[in-house]
Order: sequence, then C-alpha cells, then structure tokens
Amino acid sequence: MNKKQFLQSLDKELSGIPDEEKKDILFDYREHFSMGEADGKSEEEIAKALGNPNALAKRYKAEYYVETAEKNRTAGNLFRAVLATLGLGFFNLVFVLGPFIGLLAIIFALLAVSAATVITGIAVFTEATPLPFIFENVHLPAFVAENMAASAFLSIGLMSLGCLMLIAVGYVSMWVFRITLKYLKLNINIIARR
Amino acid sequence: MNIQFKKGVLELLVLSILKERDCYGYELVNEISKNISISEGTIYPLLRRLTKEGYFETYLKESKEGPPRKYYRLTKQGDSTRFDLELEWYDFINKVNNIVGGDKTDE
Repeated sequence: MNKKQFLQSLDKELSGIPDEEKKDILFDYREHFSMGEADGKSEEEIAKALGNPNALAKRYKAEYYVETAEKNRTAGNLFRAVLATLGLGFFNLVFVLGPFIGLLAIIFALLAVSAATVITGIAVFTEATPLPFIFENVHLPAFVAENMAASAFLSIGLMSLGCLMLIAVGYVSMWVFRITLKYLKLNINIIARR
Repeated sequence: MNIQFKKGVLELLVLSILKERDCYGYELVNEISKNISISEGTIYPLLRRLTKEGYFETYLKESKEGPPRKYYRLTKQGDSTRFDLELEWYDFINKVNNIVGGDKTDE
C-alpha cells in the first residue's frame, strides 16, 4: 500500500465524521508520511508500519461517536456509539453487545413493571366507578370493592406508586447511559484492535 | 511483549516523553518504536484523544525542511495524570516483581 492508497482508504472509512475533524486526522498522517520520506523510508514501509487504515478509521469513529453521545445524550447517539465500538473487534460482540442488551432488558422490564402498576391503578379506578368499562376482569377483594373510599385510595396509591417507579426508571436509565459510555471508552482504549 | 500490555502503557510513554520536551507526532512515534514495536498508526488516535481530554496543547511550528509541524505540549492536567500513571506503574511492577522474583525476595 502506498501513501495515496493509505490516505484514500482512511478518508473513505472515516465517513460519518465531520469534514473538519476528518481533515485534522488526515493531516497527522500526511505529516507522518512526509517526515518518514524525509527520513529516507519508502511510502510502502511507512504505510505498513502505520498499520491497517480501516482499523484506525474504526477507532476514530468509535471515539467520535462516544464523544458525541457524551455531549448530546440521546438514545440514538448512544446506540451509534455502541455500534461503532462493536466494529472494533469480534470480542466486542461478547464484551459490549452482551452486557448492553442485558442492561436494556433490565430497563425494559422495570418500565413494564412501572407501567403495569399505573395501569392496575387505572383498572381499579374504572372498576370502582360505574362509568367506563374498559377493564372488565378486575377482581378486587370484596371489602375493597364494596367500599368506594377504599377502592379510590387503592387506585390513587397504585397510580402514584407506578409514576414514582417510572421516575426511578428514568434515573436508572441515565445512570446506565453514563456507565455505558464510560465502559465504551475503556473498551476502546484496551480492547481496540491493533 | 503482550499487545494489551503495550496499549496500557502507551499513554504513560507518551506523557513521559512530552514531559521532557515538546514533540511532533512523528518524533513521538519514533521515540517509542525505537524501544517497543508498536503499530505506529495507533499513536495518532491516542494523541488526539489525550488532546481532547486536555492533557496536551498543540501548536504549529515552521520547520526548515517541509511544511510546518504540529507540536504537542504537556499541560498541567496532563502532567498530573502522568504523575498518577507513573505511581501506578511502579506500584504494579513492584507487585509483579514480588511474585516473579518471589523465591529471591521472600525466603
């Protein structure tokens, strides 16, 4: 591989990274080539010592996406960061994708439980009032069902509990977000391919 | 040397070299690959990350031959990280030495 091929494939593989940043990255390698040549090395020698441009590009991309997710905390950015890190090596299917899916599953389960609690509260409410008949199969103990006040309090209690749990899930998700990014950074530095 | 091992110390190596003097990328690569064989391209992503984290400042300086070079200068923050890493490093090799050279020191 000569200088042109190396720089071209690096440039191509860096797609997705803003132009300015890309220019900056390519500048470093161009400089490296011109100094190596001044040292009397051939373009091929220099390219070989630099390593695989695809692997380098993947690393820049992973770092870029993690950084973006840190600045701009959206789920989409987090997913892009996880995906980019997955590209760094086969091992990451186990070390990144596995734990990440696990965490997502936990968050999903917590969300489901909280939502179910809120819905149960609504169901109790509709059962206690004669108006809407959305939930027909709510069976409350007789002493609750026969007592309007008891059902009302049970309903309010369940709905509030569910809402509190939803808020808690929100905090847990933010925490997971932070931990994931931290882990990705560590991963990029340690596991990243040569 | 083991690959993971090298990666872990690369940061310390770069920080230590820059403590002595400002360098441009090519110089750093040479300085390190003189002693340890590395995939030279990986230095640049590292330099970029450490610069973003505020460990280095960069400046361009004209050179007699060819285009201006990008120099890296260690910041205060970079130096304190270097200090921590160095302590960790000595702590680590001491512990390893205790085990590796175990029968000499323990008995």
